[in-house]
Amino acid sequence: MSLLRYSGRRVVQAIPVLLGVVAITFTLINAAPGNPVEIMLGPSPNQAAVETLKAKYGLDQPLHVRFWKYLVNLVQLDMGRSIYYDAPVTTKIAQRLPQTILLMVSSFAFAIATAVPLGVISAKRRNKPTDHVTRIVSLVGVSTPSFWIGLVLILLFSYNLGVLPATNLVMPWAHPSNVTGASTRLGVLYVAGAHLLLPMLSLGTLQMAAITRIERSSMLEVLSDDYVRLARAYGVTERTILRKHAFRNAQLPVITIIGLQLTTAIGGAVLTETVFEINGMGRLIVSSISRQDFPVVMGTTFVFALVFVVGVILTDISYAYIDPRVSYGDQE
Amino acid sequence: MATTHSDSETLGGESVEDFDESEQSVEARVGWRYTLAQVRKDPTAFAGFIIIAVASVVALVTTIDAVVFEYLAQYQVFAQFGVEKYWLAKTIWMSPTAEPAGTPTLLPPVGMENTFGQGTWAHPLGTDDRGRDILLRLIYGTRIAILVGVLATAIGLVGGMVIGAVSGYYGGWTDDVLMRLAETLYAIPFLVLVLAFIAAFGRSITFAMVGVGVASIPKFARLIRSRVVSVREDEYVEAAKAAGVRDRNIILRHVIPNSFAPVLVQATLQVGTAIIIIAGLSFLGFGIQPPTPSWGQMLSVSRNYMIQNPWFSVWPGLCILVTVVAFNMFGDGLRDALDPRLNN
Repeated sequence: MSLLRYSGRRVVQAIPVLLGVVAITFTLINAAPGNPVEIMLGPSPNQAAVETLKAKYGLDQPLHVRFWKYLVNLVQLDMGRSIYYDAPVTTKIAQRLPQTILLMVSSFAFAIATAVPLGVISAKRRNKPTDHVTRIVSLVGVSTPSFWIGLVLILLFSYNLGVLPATNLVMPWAHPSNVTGASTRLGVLYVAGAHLLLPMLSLGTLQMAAITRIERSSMLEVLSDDYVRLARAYGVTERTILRKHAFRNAQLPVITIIGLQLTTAIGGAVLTETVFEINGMGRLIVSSISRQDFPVVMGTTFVFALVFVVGVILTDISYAYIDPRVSYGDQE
Repeated sequence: MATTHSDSETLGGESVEDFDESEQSVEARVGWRYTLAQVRKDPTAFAGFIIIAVASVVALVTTIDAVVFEYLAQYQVFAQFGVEKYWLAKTIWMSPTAEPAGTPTLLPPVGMENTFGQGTWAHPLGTDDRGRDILLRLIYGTRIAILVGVLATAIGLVGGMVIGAVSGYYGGWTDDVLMRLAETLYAIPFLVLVLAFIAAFGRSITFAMVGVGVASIPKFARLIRSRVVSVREDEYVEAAKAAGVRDRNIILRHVIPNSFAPVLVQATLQVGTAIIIIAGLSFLGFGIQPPTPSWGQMLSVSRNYMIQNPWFSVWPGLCILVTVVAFNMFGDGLRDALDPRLNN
């Protein structure tokens, strides 16, 4: 029950933060020197046309009225109309979000699946060759721009070896008739996997390296704790200590880092989508900035913040699930 | 990314210090000399320091070259001696025939061959799409990376220091308001916040740099605040208060200097992060505009010529990698030196 209460409290706490996010992006975008109407109509426009367009996008009203309207609409999942596409922003985002989510979820899955064992092995064999190699790999991993990893992967696997596609992304749930090179559901999955592999590695390497580093240091800390030494003194085998006593406790900081890594992962996704020409949220925000399509920039910024906040709440809840002290403390 | 460890301040909503109290007192007792000696004993940290030093010298020389010699060239002062823009760089790093007119474009690195011809020592790393020497442009890119990375971090550091110190020292509603604001800024993913900033103010390296700086303020503010809250209770602050020292002087003379060690570690790591972010912005076309050479912008151009000259895409990334690794190695070494728990 306390876990449920705790989760509820975290969700409620997120509301003012999200309100603040809308306020900040709204202020930023409205501080912009360029007026979207002028951009649409070009230099020295017809005054009547300016007025009609301003009325269409509600730009003729004072700022606080527009902000209130934007908030009210946002609650009803209306983020205004895109100037460039002349379509609701929500529709554009709904089209683009699945690609970005697929990319991020797969890269985190890859990162966690590789980083956790790597970190544990590295801590277990501290200062042995395996540990040194892991540390070097993770240091290089956190220091490499994800988009460059993407470029090098394309050079290697698409151009030199010609085994994996470099651009676009096929969604695994796409209909076979829309996918070239696939005639069955299984074929679509195969094609989708092949397309996803390089972007996933490109984005996942950074997360993998960051999680490996924290997993290693966390395991080292736990392995030197008194209760582990006591277990050793009792003659418990290293294997059992690692599996039963140390591992679970060492995961707490790792969970926190996974949540916080979301912010770099979202930034990485923007760049990875550009490198692999994936039509996701990242490319949407980048192209909308170039076109000064401000409703879309605001909408995508908000959705990215929402993804991050939801991710952090989920990691906080799983933290409380593993460590009940967090939610017990909440009841007092 | 590069700031993994220091990000662990918040565990499940609770504040957990990366640096515990014992470290603070040890650091205060032995001071900076001890710290620097520790860093020198650590070969990785020292290697990082050397790379940073070399890159800084390169950045300084190229800045002088680009600014001073461009200025001189305007007035034809040294034109008769053959002194022009890039003269320093050419005489130090390049053969005099670095940019001969009419050379074929996109030459490969020395010892390799592609459709444009054979790589020669005149262009050790090959040429770009306009026949410009890649090595020379990489050297010039160092200037942007170091300068912009350090300046962006400085903006975040100073902003975070002011907000964090005020927030932590006064507490109460000031603290509440400032920290909620920091939390809100923190909720927008870093690159997305910088992109929104650029969307509002326009695409230029100045706004990109300020954007990265502003976006990193919450991180510094939270770190400094947590230090200040613990330093505030120390006896010497109480003594200063009793002696009638003004709040501003207590913050500047006592609170900030005594909270600075972990902040320095964070700042070193943040320079690496800023370099990657700014390279990414230039890659997207929102940072450095051509023809000014920068690593991110070179990578962006190289994408169009990956078949003709694949090496073009490799070099700028390697430069970013080496520089950022250096900042991370130095920052990690600094942290280890400041944190005696790990020195066993």
